[in-house]
Amino acid sequence: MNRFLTLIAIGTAATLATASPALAHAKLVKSNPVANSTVHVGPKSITLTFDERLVPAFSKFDVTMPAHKMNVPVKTVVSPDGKRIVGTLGSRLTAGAYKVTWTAAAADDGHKMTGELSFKVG
Amino acid sequence: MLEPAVIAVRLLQYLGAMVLFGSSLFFVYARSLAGPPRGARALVAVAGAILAIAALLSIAAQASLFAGSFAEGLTAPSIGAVIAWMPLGKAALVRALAAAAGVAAVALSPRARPAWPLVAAFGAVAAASLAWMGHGGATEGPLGWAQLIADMLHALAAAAWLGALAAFALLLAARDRSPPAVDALYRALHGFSGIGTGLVAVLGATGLVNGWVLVGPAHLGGMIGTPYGRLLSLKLVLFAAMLALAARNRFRLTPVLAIARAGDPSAALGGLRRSVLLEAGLGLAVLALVAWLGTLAPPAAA
Repeated sequence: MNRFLTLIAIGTAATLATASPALAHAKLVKSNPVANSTVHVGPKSITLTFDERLVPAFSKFDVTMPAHKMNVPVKTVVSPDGKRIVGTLGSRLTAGAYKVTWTAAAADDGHKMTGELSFKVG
Repeated sequence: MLEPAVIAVRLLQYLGAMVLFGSSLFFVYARSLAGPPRGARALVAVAGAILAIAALLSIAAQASLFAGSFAEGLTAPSIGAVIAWMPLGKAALVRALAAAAGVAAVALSPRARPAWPLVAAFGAVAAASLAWMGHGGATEGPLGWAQLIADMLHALAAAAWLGALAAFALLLAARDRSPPAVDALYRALHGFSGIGTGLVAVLGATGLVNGWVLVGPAHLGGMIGTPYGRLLSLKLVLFAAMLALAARNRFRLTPVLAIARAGDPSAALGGLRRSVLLEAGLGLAVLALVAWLGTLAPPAAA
């Protein structure tokens, strides 16, 4: 009995000591196009990758051209694994500066995070 | 505007689960009592009903938070998405169903012999599901499971303690001061002392696991500088005060009642009643702090 308890205690201690707490709060980890980059060929889609599973109904992004105060039509879906928002654009983006404004609702912690990123085509 | 409402809904769920599980469990193991005290069924049924309603409200609140407004949140797609996609949504639904089943079990069982074991079983499911309401549901990997299990045990032990306090408050409010009734009360108090010690041990151990995950040894020094750390410290102070009261009940007031049983027990009962009510009040304050803490970012997340 005592050996059993000792094993449990060691196991618990080892788990606690080695694992680093990964507390959810959805963070943007990757995007295509990359934030603040300039791409030469206008993309047909934009993909944002997060480190947490998102709730599709509440996770999306808008695309604008701030210089022209113009909304760019985009249709977003969340990938089956819940970690990517993929936006399909009506047509290839033409030259100019674009801003992506995103909302991500984390499935595990219930927090809604927002953010934005910019890129250029040209 | 949504934030105080969210905290209130969380507090109601904690309160409801503490009584639904802890008080019904008390009536299972407090075998010295001839029957449940007056108001016991009403106390547990009302607690279960509050828990069921508050758990459903928490789903609606989460949907409204995500959708951006009550108008868009209180729709079938928004509420469906919270339940389908979020562990905390599923847990809230399970909690509401378990609480409703507990209320039904109280209402449908015989008045003289309520089905306390069954009510306690539903209450245990509801109390364990509270683990998903806090930060326990948000940590990933093996550590996440360790924390979830610790959180469940923490909630169950807290419920067993606070639910027993609610039951003692009812017993001490009873008018029946006949020697057999006072003797049964004394034996219930005496019997709880061992159980209470075990509950405190579980609360301490599981609290340490949670503290390790959510605060972490590296953040311990700077903890007091954060709102989370200050509230957590206040919670620990209140917990220590509850322990002191519990120790006084056990080592002073209960033995005094043992002696007073032979003569006039009213002074001893009055002292116990004040002490139990104060302890329950501190317990309520601790629950309110926990309801608030769950909405703040813990130091380890910084």
